[in-house]
Amino acid sequence: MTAVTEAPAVAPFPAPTGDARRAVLALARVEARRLLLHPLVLAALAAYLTVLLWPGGEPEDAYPVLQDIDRETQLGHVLLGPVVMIAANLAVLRSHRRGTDGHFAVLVLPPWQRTCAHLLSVLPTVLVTALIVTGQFTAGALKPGAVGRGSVFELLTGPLLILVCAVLGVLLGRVAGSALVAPLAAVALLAGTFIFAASPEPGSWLRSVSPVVVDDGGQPLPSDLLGRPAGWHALYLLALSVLAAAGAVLVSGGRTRAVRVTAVASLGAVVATVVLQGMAPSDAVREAREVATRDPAAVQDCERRGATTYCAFPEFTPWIDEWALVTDKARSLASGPEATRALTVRQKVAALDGPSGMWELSPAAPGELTVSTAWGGERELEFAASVARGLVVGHERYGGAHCDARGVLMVWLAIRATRDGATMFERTGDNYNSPGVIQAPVSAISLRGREYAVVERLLAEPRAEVDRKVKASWAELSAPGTTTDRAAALLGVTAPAESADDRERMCA
Amino acid sequence: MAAALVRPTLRSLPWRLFASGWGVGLVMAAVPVLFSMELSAPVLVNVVRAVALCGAVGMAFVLDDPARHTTGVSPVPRPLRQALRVAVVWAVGAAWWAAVLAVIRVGVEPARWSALPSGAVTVEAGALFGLALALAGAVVRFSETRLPGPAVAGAVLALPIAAGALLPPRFALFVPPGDPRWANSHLLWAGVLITMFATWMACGPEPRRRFGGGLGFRRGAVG
Repeated sequence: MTAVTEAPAVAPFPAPTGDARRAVLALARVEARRLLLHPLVLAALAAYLTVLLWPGGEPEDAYPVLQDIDRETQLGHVLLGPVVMIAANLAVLRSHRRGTDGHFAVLVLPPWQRTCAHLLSVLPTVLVTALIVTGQFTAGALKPGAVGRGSVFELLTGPLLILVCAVLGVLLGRVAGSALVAPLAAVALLAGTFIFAASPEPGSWLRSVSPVVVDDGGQPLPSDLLGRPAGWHALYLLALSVLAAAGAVLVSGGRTRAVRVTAVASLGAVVATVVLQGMAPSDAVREAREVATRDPAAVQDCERRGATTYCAFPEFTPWIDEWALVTDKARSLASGPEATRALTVRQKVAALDGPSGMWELSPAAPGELTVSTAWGGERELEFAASVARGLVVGHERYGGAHCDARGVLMVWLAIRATRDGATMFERTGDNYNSPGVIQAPVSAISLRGREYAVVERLLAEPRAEVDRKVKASWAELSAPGTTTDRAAALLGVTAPAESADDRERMCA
Repeated sequence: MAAALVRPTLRSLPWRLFASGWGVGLVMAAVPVLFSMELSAPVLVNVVRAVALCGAVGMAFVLDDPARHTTGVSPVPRPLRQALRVAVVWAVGAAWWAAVLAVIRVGVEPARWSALPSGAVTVEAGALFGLALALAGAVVRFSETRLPGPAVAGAVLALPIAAGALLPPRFALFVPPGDPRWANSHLLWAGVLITMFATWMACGPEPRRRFGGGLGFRRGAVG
């Protein structure tokens, strides 16, 4: 009789939990290093840092409004996120691409624990982006001209975006064994964020599910008027990451009760946070916006400096010194009663539609002039123009181009009262493609070609000489009826003839 | 000989990958129609660009050849084999692109459609497809990778985005229609298209000397 030898059935021998955890962590460490050093991720981080650290930049950057620049950290992360998503996806699919999936069956870790390791491996990359965000915001906050208050949640959004994207990359790798899926998902994500969700009106559900709530284009607002559901949005991104992570573990076979419960709970959190985001802004914020727009005096702090009173929203009062420099300079160039006329500089916002609203500001009351919520560079020229208008014309209604001596005087005064005024004047003309126009708060101050030419000629003359002549003939220059020709004669330059274009312009 | 190779080429191409890229692109193009969104011409152009990017991501896999280590010795030169693949895929891709433009057109009222420069955006799309092709060709030429697709797909996505974010305004590629730089940027796009094709063609021939080491299973350019 032949001995029958039966191969003993080998039951899979579960590794002790401690060992499994150690193995998961070891794998996570290796994968974390590879993810961070992945050529795509490295290149993207390098490009992002280059953009951040590139010298130069706008003069406005010296006066950051912190409740706006916290948000500016997010858009770059929408571009970094897809890169990390692709890299994480490629890492999960590496064994598939190299045909080594089969070998893993003999290793300690079952697939779902490998998935856990991949999920953990994205954390150092997230941490690196968090460090970048911290550095970026701190650099802004430390600038002497910084005003306002940043939000931790807005700052967290960037790194959380990276987390969501990376976890989605792992999930996609587990769901579909193709390296095409992650890049396509990345395109869809970018299109969804920048094209579809960026356009609809505030409050729509599309905006709430978008990875970044884009609010662009408007002037800065005081932080209590923003009404952005930043906290709920950060929580939404976190819940989404947990949901995707739980999904990835479930798909790769880790069907434990804890994972299921996590998945269900995070799904609930995602839905809840989308709904809660849709409810913003709250009634209190709406009311505050209404007050700040219609009756700013009720919520502003005022400070008197000589003949000028400056009223600003509390967060913006550090800029009063800057405003006073411009106002004092403009007054020192004027003469007669206007030079010492009492004026109130009032900061105004058009907050009714929130941070991306494009409302016009309403003209200031008599004896008041308007300053916006942005400062630096061309904004200084615009405020100087507002001051010059307050001194010369005394109201902010737009009635057309200024076709007389007062137009020349106001623009010249604005340029002289601003740091680097001539450069800013040229730049603002280039930027709006309209030379001779200063986009002063409330309504633009615009010149026809003729008055513009006189101003240009004045700027070419010796400064002290022009200052003296302006002072000497201030009364006549600032009088309503004085013609451009007369102004040019008084100031010792010649005015070109009126062109056909000039004649077509509506004059104030 | 080329005619005889068409059928095997058709069979060996990764159609599912192309089809998924094209499919996602079509869905994206259909979003404005499905949700009856009133999009302005600049936004529509961006939709078309995103769709083109989907197609380009699919196109990144056009030179994937799992049997590369066996085809290296065949008497048919690599440029001819690659050209056949590209011709077949681009023919279908062109039909897809026409379909995309048609879908976009359905969702747009005629006045807006006339503001949408379809010729210029087609040049942009061609340049993006060319980028995928050139990168895949270069990876094939300078490594032993059998499947350049995954890495190229990532790069095809990263490069235009980086260009959009980093290029100075004077050389901007992604310009809204109506911008004074539109004509110049499309000269640039045409330049990119031609350069990409030239790069791919230059990378076509087999290298005179084989790279050392084993085939296929060496670490790819991007792991």
